[in-house]
Amino acid sequence: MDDDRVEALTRTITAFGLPGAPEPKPVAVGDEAWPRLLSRVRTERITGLAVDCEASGLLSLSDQHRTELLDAHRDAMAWCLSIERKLVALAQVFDTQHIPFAVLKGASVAHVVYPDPCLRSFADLDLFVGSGDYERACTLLDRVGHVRRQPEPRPGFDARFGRASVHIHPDDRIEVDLHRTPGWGPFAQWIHADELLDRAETFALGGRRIGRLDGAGMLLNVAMHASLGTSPPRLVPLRDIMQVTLEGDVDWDVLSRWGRGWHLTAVLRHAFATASTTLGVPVPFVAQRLVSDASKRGVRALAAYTGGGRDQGGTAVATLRAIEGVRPKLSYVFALIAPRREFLAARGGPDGTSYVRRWRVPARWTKRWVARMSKSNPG
Amino acid sequence: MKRATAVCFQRSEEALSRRIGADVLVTMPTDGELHELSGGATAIWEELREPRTALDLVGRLATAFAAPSTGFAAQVEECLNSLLRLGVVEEVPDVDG
Repeated sequence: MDDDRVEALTRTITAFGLPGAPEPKPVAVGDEAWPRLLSRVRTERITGLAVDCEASGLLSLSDQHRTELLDAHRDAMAWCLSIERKLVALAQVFDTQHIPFAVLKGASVAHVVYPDPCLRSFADLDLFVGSGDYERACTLLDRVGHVRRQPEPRPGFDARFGRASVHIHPDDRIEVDLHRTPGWGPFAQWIHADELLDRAETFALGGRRIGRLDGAGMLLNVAMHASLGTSPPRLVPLRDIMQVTLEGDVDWDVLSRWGRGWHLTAVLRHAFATASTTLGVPVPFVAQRLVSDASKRGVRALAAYTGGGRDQGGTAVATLRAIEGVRPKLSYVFALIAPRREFLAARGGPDGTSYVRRWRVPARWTKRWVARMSKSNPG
Repeated sequence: MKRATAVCFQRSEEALSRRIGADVLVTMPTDGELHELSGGATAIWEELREPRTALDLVGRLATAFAAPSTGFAAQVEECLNSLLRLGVVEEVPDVDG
């Protein structure tokens, strides 16, 4: 079995059980291919779907390989349960301090839209709080023993331009991503995060009601994650899109309004198209109404994430374009070119506190951009 | 079983769990340990999605496992007691009783 076949099988496993997915043919996985398939299944966090594929007869594994798959799944689920224990504990702390929050992705998606939470693994905890509560939530996490992984570039940067900060407790090493918005870069400037929180609902976990986004917010969030996260996208966010569409009780009118108003129609379309192509399932009929006009700003911002300029300052430039007002734009640029030394040290280690070293990066991007421009416009 | 008709048993609302193939991992929010259920314990866990009296539970499992309910009841009670000690199963009043 060559790598392409392993990749195709990984996608088939990810789509397992989705309506409209092609009827999979049973596959016997031999000793030679198994380590590569298991590695992909682990990396994509689809051990639960793989276990169900095996149980249904789609995957034919030797006893040894079946045991290895179950071991991998046990490890993944044990980690998820650790995260859920932490979530329940933090929910109590946040509730006591009257800080409303919603869980993004992870546990909320696993419990609300998947038929069984064992089918959706996750690695960390994403908590979304209102902008007004963000600093208080950071302080609270600090007070209960978490250490922030990286300081903000400049005081107040997070509250104005940031998306999330990462907080880790030294005892459990579980990453808590504290979001002031689920939006990325330019989209964070356009999304009305408080409206998402106002529509938040809850799900039951560990004897508590835990905040989560409503169906429309959940779909918007997983779509952004699929289209604006890693490129090419991970497979689970693509499955999430289909799963939320099917089971998330999405208010499509609200989603369409948000798409238009927050320049996210292009992202939603891109996410559905990518999920459909990658997983081999049709775009659900209810989602086809999103194929309306996407704003030019949204298309351009999306291109900063999906195009070649992504790792060469493209997302920062797109964010700068989206920030309204000259002073805020200047604050953003200043924070990026002259962040605090602590920020540089956290990013680059003890030898990384040099501003010259930091400025070399955009200088290199500019040089490449000029070279590209010269090549495309030789005259 | 003295308590058979007086109370029902069900999964604790606080219990956190995950299916691992035919087995189940369970824990409580304040429990530092994970517990793996298998075989009959998994079957009891599945049945206790809904509140059930011990008598009902024994009867259902005896049918499912084609076991004589006499010797079987003691095994079910032992397993049920283990789950109660872990806190992942709790007693609730039998509203129909």
